[in-house]
Amino acid sequence: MNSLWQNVRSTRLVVLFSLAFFVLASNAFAQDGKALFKSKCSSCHTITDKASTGPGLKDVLNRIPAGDWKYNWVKNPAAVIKSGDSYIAGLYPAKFKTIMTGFPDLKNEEIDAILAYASAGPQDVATTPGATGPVGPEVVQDENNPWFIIAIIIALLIVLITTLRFTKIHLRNALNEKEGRPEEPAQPFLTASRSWVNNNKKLVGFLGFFLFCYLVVQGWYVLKGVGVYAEEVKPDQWVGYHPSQPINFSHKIHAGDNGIQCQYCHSGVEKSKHASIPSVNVCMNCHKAISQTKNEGSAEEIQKIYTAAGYDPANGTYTLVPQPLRWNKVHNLPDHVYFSHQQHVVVGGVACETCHGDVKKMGTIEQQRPLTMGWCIDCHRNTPLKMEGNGYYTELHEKMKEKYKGQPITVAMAGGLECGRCHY
Amino acid sequence: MKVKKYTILALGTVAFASAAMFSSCVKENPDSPGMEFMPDMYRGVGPEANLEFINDAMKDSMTNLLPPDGTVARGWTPFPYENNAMGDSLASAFWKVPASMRNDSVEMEGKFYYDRFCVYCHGDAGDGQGKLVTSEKYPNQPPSYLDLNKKGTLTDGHVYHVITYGKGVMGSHAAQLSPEERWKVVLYVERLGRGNISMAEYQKKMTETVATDSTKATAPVQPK
Repeated sequence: MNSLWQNVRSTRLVVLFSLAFFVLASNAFAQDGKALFKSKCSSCHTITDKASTGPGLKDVLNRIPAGDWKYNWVKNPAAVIKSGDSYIAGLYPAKFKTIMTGFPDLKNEEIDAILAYASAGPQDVATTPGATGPVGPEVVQDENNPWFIIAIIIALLIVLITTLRFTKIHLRNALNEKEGRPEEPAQPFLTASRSWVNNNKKLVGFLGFFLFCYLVVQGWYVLKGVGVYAEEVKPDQWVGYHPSQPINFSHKIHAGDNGIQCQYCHSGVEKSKHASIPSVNVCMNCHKAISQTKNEGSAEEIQKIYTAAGYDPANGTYTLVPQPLRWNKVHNLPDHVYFSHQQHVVVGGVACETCHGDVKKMGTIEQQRPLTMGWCIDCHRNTPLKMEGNGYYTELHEKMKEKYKGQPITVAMAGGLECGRCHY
Repeated sequence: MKVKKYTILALGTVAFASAAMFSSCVKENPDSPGMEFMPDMYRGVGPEANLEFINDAMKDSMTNLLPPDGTVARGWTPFPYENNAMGDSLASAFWKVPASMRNDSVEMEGKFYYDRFCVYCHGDAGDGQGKLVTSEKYPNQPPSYLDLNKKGTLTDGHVYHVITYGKGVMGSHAAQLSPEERWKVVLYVERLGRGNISMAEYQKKMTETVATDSTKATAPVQPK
């Protein structure tokens, strides 16, 4: 009995130890597989079922032929293709155009570890959608138009007044008939109204005043809507033109969190008058591989890029009809102002934030500076002229330094206030 | 007098109340840039970048049009190799950095463009550990330049070909980088492939390694 118990215990121990070893070992392999996958395979494969340059590798172990096939393939794909393998003939060149690079250095155990890791698919819990909430500004809910309700009320009132007026006339006529008085002649509407106004001067005056107030308020808002500008409501807190955009593109995520320089997308800023809104091929540089992020609604927004580019995400080809995006232009200067981004950014060394505000914290773009002439002039008056590194005007700058000895030299002193500098 | 005082007070209250009421009714369209007096001053007849054409001939089309076929930009250098594997191998064999550009100062100018266009995925050291890769926002990790340099595939023409046409998941950056800027990036990428040291230092290091390795009787690695 005792020995049997001991036997059982020792068997248990052995089982436990072997289990522990197995778990630890497989865990170690999985880690190894992840690192190897990242450095060797991930430039062309993903661990999801989404195809990239090569097929997605989720559940790959259930698909491929059994035995040593996987080792042969990874070590020398070209040889496998040459041998007329039936499995790969269905994939290359029918679905994938590029032959995989061979990895003859990888050991069989390493290939096993990589495939085990990739085949298991993504294990990340944090990828559940809605983890970080919606992107960009909230969408304004479409309320019922108050004017529609007011119009209904007014119509009801008119009906009520007309009915009451006819009822009153009929009742009076009936009363006159009963008491034997002659029937009063029916007054025309205008005369009746005039006499009603004469009898109710206070009410009419009150309504007139109400209408007057309404017109004043409306007029005030119309005047306020003239021109596009931004104002500083609190120190460093600006409110300005903030239209919706065809794609809910967040500058906060791209320029802020990911740290992508403004010029990656607005690459015209140093070469042209315009910083330019990037064309969708620039979006596709990254979003060919990123069709969804952790943010809610990202898949729909990225799909809009695919639609605009005519990209077919299922096949990875540009075969659909491209459709241009109608972005709403935010920073707009009147046609009679000539403004060059190149001159300000390259020659003047002005940072983007000076005129565009803290874009790295914005969702969709908002105008945060007034962009009025007074505002431009203020900056030209106060900004010191950037002289270093300017090979072209060296002689002129030396002369200016001599002329304005000791004084700070501003842009205005170099002609920054001349009319023809911006209006020509 | 007393009556007049009350009247003014009542009228004032009514004015205030109605103003408050009406101003809450005013609903501004957030997409409208506001009312324009003298509209010509905001919208010119000539085409403006990134807007729709307002003249009748091109109405309902955007000003961002593709140039006509065969258009050649000023200062444009033709790149005679095609976007396929054959073009890639031909380019890596025959397409070389202009001799006038191959020096250390131009190489470091390439860092400016590398940091702007490449660093997010390829990383500061060119090892494929860019911010987007390490944060796992971008699913594909690019190969390390150091590995490619060891394999000998990090050639002028190949890097230029990849920047121009893209490779795998990487897209074409030809729209963002002019040919001259592409050469600068090529030079800096090759520098990163050498472990971020100049050609002279690298050659010195390689001869030293070859010297120490030859005692162990291994095949010497040819400096590129």
